[in-house]
Amino acid sequence: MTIAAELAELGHLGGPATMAMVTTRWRSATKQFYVLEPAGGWNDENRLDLLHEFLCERLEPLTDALIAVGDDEVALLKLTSRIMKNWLTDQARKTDTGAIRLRLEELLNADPSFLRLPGHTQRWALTGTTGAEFSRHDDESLFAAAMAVPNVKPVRWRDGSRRAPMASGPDLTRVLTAVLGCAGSAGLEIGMLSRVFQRRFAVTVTSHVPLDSDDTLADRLAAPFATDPAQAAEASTRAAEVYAQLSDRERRILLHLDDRPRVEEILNVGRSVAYTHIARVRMTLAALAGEDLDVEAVAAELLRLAESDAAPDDMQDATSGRSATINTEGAQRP
Amino acid sequence: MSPSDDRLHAVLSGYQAPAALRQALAAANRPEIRAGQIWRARVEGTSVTVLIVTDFNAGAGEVVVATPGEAPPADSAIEHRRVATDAFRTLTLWSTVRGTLHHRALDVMIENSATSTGLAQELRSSPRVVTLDEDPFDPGAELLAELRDDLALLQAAPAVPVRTADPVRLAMMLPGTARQQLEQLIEHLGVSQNEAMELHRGRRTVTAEQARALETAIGLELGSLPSSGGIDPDLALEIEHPRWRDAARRRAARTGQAEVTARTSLAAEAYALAARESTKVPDWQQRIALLVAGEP
Repeated sequence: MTIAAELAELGHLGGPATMAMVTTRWRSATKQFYVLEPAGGWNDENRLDLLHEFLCERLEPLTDALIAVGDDEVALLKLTSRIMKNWLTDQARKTDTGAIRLRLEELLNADPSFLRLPGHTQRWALTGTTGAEFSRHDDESLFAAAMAVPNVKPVRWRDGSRRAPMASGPDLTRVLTAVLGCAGSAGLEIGMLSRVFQRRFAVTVTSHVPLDSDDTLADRLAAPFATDPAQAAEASTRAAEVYAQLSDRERRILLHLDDRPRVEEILNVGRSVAYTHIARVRMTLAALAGEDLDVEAVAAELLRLAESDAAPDDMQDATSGRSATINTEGAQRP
Repeated sequence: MSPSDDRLHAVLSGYQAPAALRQALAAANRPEIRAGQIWRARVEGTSVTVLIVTDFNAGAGEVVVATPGEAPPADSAIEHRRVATDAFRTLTLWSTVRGTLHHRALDVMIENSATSTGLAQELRSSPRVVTLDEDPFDPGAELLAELRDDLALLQAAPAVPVRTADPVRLAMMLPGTARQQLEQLIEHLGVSQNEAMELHRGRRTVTAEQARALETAIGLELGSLPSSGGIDPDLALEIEHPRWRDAARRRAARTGQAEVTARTSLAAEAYALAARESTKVPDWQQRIALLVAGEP
């Protein structure tokens, strides 16, 4: 009996064909989420425990959605995987938010320029704010304040088993100062602060594709690209840092930011999903523009790294030239 | 079964889909399409639930994607609405995944209730949400993009080739410069330069065979070029109505054809049947019903 026939007859997901499909799909869905991987790796038992957690939250909508699909097996598999992937992404983000919150609290407690507001255990403000300052609390203003802090450098990270830190402690403190400065004397709840930071460092914390241990990255840095050797060395180092923060998928599309059909092909996705990925990488690169360095040289170096990593298929129809692909705003050139 | 399989079986069997949903799917109703209905729309490999926002006119109308199993995360800023309807305990309406759909992509009506009609009414009266500056890092951005791609696949459902009374300027429909278009016509249709120019300017219409050859050679969707040999437009509209999808699918499965080819052949046979009769304006629905009744 097919899965669709079984679903139509039973009205639930407990039939043998459906059960087998759910467990197989779950196995492949969980593989990608290294941040959710238990210490010691996945095994049948811990994978099943997480599946029960998923079903506890999503059994009803999953059942209704699969029954509504009808007798198209491919569509059934696609939808099951998507619902699982989205739930796992939410779980990964929850662990990200928890980790961000802990890190921010650590920094806030350690620095006297931050003040826990009396009577509000979860609320923080800058020490010395009087209430006379102009303040903004909306998401966009807070995010803009976080983005406006220059030279916030991602930390180069080689440990494939743990998530990369958002940035160095001093850099995070500068961003905290800017965001709390924007919020003024009323301060902000730690939850809100965590959300602003999660958005500000989105690439780092939501990339769930494991980064390869990249010990050879330093060796692969080419001879200085810019004419000024000091500047070139800085650009190379910076590019290596940024490159280390990109997920495998983002690295693969770096060479094709101006070629959406090629990104569709490489990632095996549709037009809108390809646009979303391209936009994410562009925004990451755009953040470089605020830094005090030769962004052109960094961009060129990034592309060189991507070229040296690219699979032969990815190189087919690749960009006509490194610097033609991205400019200092991370946007494509005409 | 191992104890862990037993436990999983118990959990998976622990929820029964709403009776209204199961009954609607089993009934496989495919009535005239009206605003306020909820349908399953599908093309091969993609199946999406949609709420019909406007009445269908000439086979097409506006729909909004409605997902029973997926919603943006709580901290997402993506415009959406979670509702309960007669058939679904929860349904997410994605206001920004809205567009025109042809009835050829619709499959089965799932609901036509006061609730669903009210929702369509609200969507019609509320201004269209146009988000120019979407945040690609929004936690629901990828799901939203996937749903948009699904809607695009439905919108691109292959159409049966339609006969056109008026010659169409191929210059408007082919890729490339005028010179390249002429070269394509000469190369792929094996016509003289003079004939190619007449087709190019719309003084003549390509035959059905020429249209298929050109579509295949250039990589256009089959049926996208109007030809003199396609299906009568009224018959095409009728054969693409969801009420004939099962018949087309059965024929496709029996003959190993694609669904659109099976639809086209059903239409051609219905046309041949009507041609032998004297009625000036054939009732295509009745003709197709007669034909389908004789199918295995």
